[in-house]
Amino acid sequence: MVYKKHGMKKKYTAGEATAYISRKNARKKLQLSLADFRRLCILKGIYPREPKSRKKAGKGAASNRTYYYTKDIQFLLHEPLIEKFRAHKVFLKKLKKAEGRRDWKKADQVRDQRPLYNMDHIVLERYPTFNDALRDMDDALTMIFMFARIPKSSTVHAELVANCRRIAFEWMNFCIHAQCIRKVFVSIKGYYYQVELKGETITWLVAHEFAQEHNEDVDYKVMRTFTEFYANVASFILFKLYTEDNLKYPPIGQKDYDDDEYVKRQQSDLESLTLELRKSKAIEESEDDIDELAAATGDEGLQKAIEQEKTQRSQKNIFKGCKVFISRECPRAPLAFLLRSLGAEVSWDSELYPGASFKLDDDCVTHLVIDRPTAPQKLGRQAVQPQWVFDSVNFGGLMPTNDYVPGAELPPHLSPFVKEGQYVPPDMEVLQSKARGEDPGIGKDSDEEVDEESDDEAEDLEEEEEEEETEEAEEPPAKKMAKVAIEEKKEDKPKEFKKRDVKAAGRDKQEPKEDVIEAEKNKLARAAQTSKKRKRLLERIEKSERKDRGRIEKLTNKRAKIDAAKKAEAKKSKKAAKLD
Amino acid sequence: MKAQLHDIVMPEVEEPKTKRAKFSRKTKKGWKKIDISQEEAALEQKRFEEIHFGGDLSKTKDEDLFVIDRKPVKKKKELDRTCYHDKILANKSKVAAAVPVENRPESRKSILHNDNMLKRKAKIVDVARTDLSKKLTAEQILEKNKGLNNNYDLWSANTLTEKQKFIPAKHAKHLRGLEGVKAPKHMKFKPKMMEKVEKVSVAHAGASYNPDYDDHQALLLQEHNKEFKKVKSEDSYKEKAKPKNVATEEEMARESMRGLGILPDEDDDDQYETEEESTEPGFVKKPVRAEDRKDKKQRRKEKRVLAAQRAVRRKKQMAILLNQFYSIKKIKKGLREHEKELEKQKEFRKEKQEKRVPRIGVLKADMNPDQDVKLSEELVGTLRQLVPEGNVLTDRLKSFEARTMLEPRKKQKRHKQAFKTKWQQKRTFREWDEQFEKELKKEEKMES
Repeated sequence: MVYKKHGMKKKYTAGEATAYISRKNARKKLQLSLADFRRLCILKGIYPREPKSRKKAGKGAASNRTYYYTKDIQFLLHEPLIEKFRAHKVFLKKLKKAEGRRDWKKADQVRDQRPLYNMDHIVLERYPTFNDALRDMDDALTMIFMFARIPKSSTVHAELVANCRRIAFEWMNFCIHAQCIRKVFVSIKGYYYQVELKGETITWLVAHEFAQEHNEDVDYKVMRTFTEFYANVASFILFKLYTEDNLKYPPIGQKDYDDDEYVKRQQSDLESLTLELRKSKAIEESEDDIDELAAATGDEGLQKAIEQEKTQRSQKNIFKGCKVFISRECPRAPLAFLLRSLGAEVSWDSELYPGASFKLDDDCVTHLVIDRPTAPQKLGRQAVQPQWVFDSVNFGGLMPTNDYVPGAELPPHLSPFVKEGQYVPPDMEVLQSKARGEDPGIGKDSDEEVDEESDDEAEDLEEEEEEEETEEAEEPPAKKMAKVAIEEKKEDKPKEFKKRDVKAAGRDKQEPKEDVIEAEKNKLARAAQTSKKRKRLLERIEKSERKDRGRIEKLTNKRAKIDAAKKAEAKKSKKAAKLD
Repeated sequence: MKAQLHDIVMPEVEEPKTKRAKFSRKTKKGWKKIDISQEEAALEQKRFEEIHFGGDLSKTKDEDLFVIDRKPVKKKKELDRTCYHDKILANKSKVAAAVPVENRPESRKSILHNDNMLKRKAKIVDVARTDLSKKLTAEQILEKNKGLNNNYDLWSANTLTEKQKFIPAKHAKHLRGLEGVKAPKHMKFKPKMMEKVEKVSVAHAGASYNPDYDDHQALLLQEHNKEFKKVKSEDSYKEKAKPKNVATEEEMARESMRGLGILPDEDDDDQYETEEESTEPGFVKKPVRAEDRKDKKQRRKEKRVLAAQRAVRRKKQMAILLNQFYSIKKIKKGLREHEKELEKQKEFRKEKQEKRVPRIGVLKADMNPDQDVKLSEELVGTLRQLVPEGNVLTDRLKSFEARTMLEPRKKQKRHKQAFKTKWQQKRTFREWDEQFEKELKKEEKMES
């Protein structure tokens, strides 16, 4: 018999050894299978943690195990879902038994008694406020849009797929209504969208159509669980968003079920993104006149804010008045989504998809989005490639269509998601100025020297404007019509806007951010004189900035060299041509 | 309409045969004789009418089909400018476009099942028994009871009645008699990596479907470097895995030729070896002789000498130490430098710790997964010709793992059979075969 000595304590009875619990022990405590345990943790938002000392947490064993906080697991003990999981296990046993005996009647009975659960309390527990939930929508939407397109299988039930489809369409329809789309990037993976809702920026990815291959390395059960939870959160969010905007939710009402035809039509409208969302109450919305407000206040900060709001409003409606016909080879859903959310009316081949509102031959069509080498010509109608839409969204203005004519070599599709301080290719400036309706002096000056032009830019600008005016007289009417929209925009904007620094405008529209960063840095510099820690922080920041600057300089130099070489070559070839 | 009727050539309908042949239907031969051409023709006719006239012709009134031409109108025929091939390709069918699969109405059975489901869903939240017994439709029940199908405002306090609400603490009391079970405080704080890593990381600008030249090159370089590193490390493993001190082929060949007088430098080798043999030193311990033994006097003297030497050494040491007093500044400087270095190391370690990815399982998470890339020659100018890359689901899984939301896992492959099955011929067969072979050989011998 070993006696406990005075002041001795048994090892591993306190501290890290008890704060952490290994996955195996947690499962034992909860009496759950590994699959059920994983599912529960995903639904409840309980993640594995890394202990500070593996050896202590493992009670002497330092192997790479998965650990959880013991308190988390204790909290899980009270979860009612566990009961439901057990009930489901029993249900499966019963079903298997009935089916094994080929007693189909009994099996049907059992199947009808499938235990159901709801996880509202978990949603509320994990997201105490609405904005908390919105912040997590990035993940949710990417998963939901992914699952909306997965074929049903033994691991992915049709019910979940249908639910995801519904949520995806309801979300897109709401985004169209709220006009909240800010950025879009067409990558080889799919479409990245960014919206701004209730002060939160939400980015999500939608894969290209027909692109997804089945990957056997992915555990579909785990992904399904994530999606199940996110779908629940998303539907709560949608309810709140719809009702806060005075819209009825669900958009296709349950009361309308008597009229089958009507519901069917509504359903197809929802899926073709042409549904007019129903208002729950008839309230006349008085539009606040911003100009009046601006005149009334003398506050500088407010003025600035109003100016921003103005530009944002104009960007929200860049396609207003456009009637766009989407040709059948173009991706219909993303184009319809973007065009409609920025004010355009869209239509497509009525045989391709329901919900078409006008035909290609109609005179009202102003733009034809087509992705073929040639397009049928018609007076008063512009044929453009799909990229015109994406670039217009990103640059906040209608791009001139002559760069996007079918068959033409397109300008590069630049990512609007590039962070501040990163390298911006010179094409960006050209495109930005084009979006503003200016004629950039870069690119066309193949035979003149660049230096001459850069000497007096201000004069040049005026000259170019004059040139445009003279050009207008000679242009065919079809081109003219499309130009009207750009022209109008031009007049709206004050001249200062033109001279503004171009780099800051396009990729990251939040200009005040820079000021904030600058102020923060100044503050830090002052504090650095007193504290070592802050001094080091400042040093680190400056070092990374220097590094970035160096990289940018390198790239711009490289680009300049390439441009110069190109120009020289062009000159040579021209001379050679002259000699010939 | 007149012109149309004239233009369209009606498919000929065969006259049905009046006489029915009598034959036995007992055998398969007889079955073939049933003539369904009549039915097929009728169906074809019906389809034809549906496509060209939008319904049954016999049921339409004559007035709809024909117009009595009262006035002779002299109207110039409008020139049809559509191309001939367009005319051929145009869709003339009057049958409406097929409804997309996803829009098709549900089957009756699934609706029934759904109905049942919704009713039972209503049971999760307290629903008045009277409502359930009233034979209300599922939709009506849903409408009446908030808390089903997420059709209520979760975040405002007063949308649900007390009965409809689920309160975890209440449940806990029901379960184990405990009251006021609260979520642990640390649940508010997510793991470090969840804050650090972006939820949806947008693809590199060079992964655009129509990328800028610089961006694309940057992405290619980045991925190339990654791949290069990988290949290099793989190669180094291979190098390390090679067995050491194993003779190369060249050495083997050389060894086999040794002593035959073929090798040019063989003679030198031999010489060297002989030299070595001659200069071999012997390690024989010398025996201690009596005359070599030290006497007491000698030992004392030795002791004295050693003590004197020690004293001198100590004196010198002291002098050095005393002298150091004058170089305190220098020493201090050295100490400071040492401290600085220590601090640097500390900081470095701290930074490393910050950058470290927490290990939450047996496997390591892939923090910098390979990006999808299109090579320069694979780039196409238009969206139509684009062949998409990557898999969103794989991406998501990697993102979850990088954010330590899931422990990294690898799908286990099924084990192959441990031992190969051996096949053996039965003895009787084998004996027969052997005998047969023997006979064959005999015959061959006879022939030769």
